[in-house]
Amino acid sequence: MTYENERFINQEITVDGNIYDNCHFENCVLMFEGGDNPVFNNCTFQNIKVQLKGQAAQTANYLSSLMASGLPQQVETVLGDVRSGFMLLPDRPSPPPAVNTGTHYGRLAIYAGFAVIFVLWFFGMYVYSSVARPYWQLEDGKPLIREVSFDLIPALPDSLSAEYDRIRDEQLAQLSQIGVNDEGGVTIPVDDAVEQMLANGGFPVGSDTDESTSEEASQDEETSDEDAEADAESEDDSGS
Amino acid sequence: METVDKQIFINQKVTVDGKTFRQCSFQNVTLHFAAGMLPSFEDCTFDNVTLKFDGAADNTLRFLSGLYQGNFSNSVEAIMAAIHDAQEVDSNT
Repeated sequence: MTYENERFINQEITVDGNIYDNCHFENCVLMFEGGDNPVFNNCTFQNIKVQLKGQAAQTANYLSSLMASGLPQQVETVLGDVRSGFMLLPDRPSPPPAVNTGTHYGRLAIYAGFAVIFVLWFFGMYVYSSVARPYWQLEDGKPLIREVSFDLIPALPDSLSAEYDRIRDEQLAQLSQIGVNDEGGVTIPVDDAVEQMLANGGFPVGSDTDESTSEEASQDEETSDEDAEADAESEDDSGS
Repeated sequence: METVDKQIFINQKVTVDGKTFRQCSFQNVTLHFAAGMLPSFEDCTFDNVTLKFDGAADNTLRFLSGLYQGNFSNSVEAIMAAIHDAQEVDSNT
């Protein structure tokens, strides 16, 4: 419940869970029963007493009983936390129980020693391999790495170089011009060949054309044979 | 009210509300109290025991701490003095 700008005079007030804004308390007893903590904003107090009731009083009585039961140090710790405001801090995880800690310092020192030795050995090996480089050669005497001087690489003879250039020019010309190769075949540029292939839907390029040309060639051969026979007969006639 | 006789508690959380412990031993134990009925300890031994408060008990300690920080330290000290002297605080509701 929230109270604003009220004056409480000569009253006993149970404050659990309440919010007081700009209120005045005078000759009052503030009673707390262990519920939610109250909030006081810009309030004034005059001659106030605090009293614990119910479960809050049980808590105080519990601490009092512990004091008489042999746990005064623990109770003093709790009261010290109340004075310091430690109780108001958010809950923090409790420290691990003491059973999980140990006193095997000798074993810890041995493990730490092994770790240090390993680190030193690793670092030493790294430095040794980087600086001294003991394995430049394999066991059979072959070098692991051979750095050949640029001057030792043989230069290409001028005559051979010119021949290479000529062959390269010819190959480029065959790829870009229409011509006849050494075997008597016709060469066409690669781009044109690809275009024809695409236009015909694939290889072979112009197969119908090849068949027609072969038929024409055979007809030509037959015609030439007939002409030759006719010439021979005319020669015989003239001779006779 | 539950009675616990001659039991040894080691490395545990023990809720003490409303219990009577007789000739028990508590070692590395956290005693939890939630402002229920008061426990009692008769002829018990304690070794490395910590106190933990839940619910209304935790609220109460926070309330007292807030008052202590808010210029009501005298009133809180009076309550603490009663606790320290093992006197019973008013429990009337």
